[in-house]
Amino acid sequence: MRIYNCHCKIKLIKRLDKSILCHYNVNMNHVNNMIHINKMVTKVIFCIEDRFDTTMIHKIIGTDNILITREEVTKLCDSIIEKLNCLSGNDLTILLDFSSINFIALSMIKQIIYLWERVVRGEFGTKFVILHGMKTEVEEEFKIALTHERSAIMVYDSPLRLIGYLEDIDLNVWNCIINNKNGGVSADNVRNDFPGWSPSVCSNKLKKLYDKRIAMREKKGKGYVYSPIIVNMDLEP
Amino acid sequence: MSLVITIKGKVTEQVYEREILPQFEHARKILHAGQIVVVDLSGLSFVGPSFPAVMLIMMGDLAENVGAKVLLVPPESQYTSAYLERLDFFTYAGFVADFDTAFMLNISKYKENKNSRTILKINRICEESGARSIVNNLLIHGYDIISSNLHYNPVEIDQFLQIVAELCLNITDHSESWGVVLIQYLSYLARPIVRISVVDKGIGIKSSLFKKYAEYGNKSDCDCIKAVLREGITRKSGHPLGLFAIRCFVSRWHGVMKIRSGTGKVWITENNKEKQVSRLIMFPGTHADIQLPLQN
Repeated sequence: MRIYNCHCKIKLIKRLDKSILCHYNVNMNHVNNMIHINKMVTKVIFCIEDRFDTTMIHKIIGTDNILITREEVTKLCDSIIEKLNCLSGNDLTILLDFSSINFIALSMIKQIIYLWERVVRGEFGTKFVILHGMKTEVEEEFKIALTHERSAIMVYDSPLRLIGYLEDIDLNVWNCIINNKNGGVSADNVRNDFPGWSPSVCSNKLKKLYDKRIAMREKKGKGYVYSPIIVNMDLEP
Repeated sequence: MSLVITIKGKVTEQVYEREILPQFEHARKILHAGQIVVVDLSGLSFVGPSFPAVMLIMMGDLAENVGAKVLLVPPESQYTSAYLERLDFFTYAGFVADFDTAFMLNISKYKENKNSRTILKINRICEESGARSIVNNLLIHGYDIISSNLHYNPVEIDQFLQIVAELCLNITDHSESWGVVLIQYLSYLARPIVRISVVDKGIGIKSSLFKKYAEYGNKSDCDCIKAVLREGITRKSGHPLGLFAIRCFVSRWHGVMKIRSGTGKVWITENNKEKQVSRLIMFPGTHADIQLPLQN
């Protein structure tokens, strides 16, 4: 995230029927918790609180530039777990900000991915994690580790993207959701794009993305409507 | 009683396996705590790139595991002494051996050399923070050498750091002892390469595996090394050795990787083929030696 004078506006087009263009001021002074991890000081920032639904995005910034010891990563994961557990309600999103990290050891990336797998399994309820601000090198290592674990995660940067492993066909469905401008995608919408698929196949494909925690869903009528964790974003100084 | 281990002439990998390791093995068998062993390097004229790191481990094994008193006789060759001094060999030799302090005064002038091809001098690792300082050191001091001489881009340099970090973390996570790291930029067969040597004097790969999987108690050292170089075993433990990941990086670059542990040695060729030699002289610990070539 480009932070201009420690202050930036994030435009988010929020979810589904609440597709209202919301402006959130993210002020770096809104730091309400500090966790000291050895030399690393992690700021846990409750940066955005959605007034329209239960989504909150939590931002964790490490100010040290090397993340290498097991002790540090364990403490970092523990602090994330603590946040995941203490937040009530569903559909909570945690944003992990790596913008200050220059190097993270592959073993430690794997520890973060094991935690992500626990999130995907629903150990903490319906929660979502997205990554942000990774340097090219760090993102490359995450791609390698995620692909190895056959897992995928969203990256909240421009362009909004998915890294890791996802079958091509599922990626096409995910792209359907991402590119949709109408506030959500139903099985019928998917069927329009993939005419050969039966309604149940379309539903299953969408559910798979939700189960992998790379898309959100909301009950609408008899079925579900799926949307990205964050539909669109635009960062302005 | 005292024993003399004589190391002379040119020490290449073959000489080290054939002549030097047997002497240390013999010393380990016959020496008792408090006895003196003299490691005589006076006739040494040339040393291979990973020899300084291995020597520290071998002397450390006699001093700490056997309890012998190690006396080191430095090389008479000024060229060899200067080379070892530039790598900080004598600083770390001082942890495990005694030697003439007057000698140190004579060679300290060789400590710094602008033309030195050392990317990382010998570093001793006892705990995870050692890995951290090595990566930090490489980011600050080694980045330019790797980037300008070997033409690695930032992603490749990061992968290079991953290799070093994982090898260092293996020492603290699995060896149950200390180890040393040495990284040099060399010319091999007229091609520039980076040579990473990470050696520990720990329990070895077989014992490390045996602690988690009893079935490895009956396997040879080579089988155990090959097991950790392949995918699968690290996934089960949730506490990876990281050697499989390192192999992937090295293979992608057509580098060479050698692992020596116990009585076995396995190496991965430039074409990602496995080769092995078994029933070698016992090596106390694990020695990982990696050669990475210039990138296009």
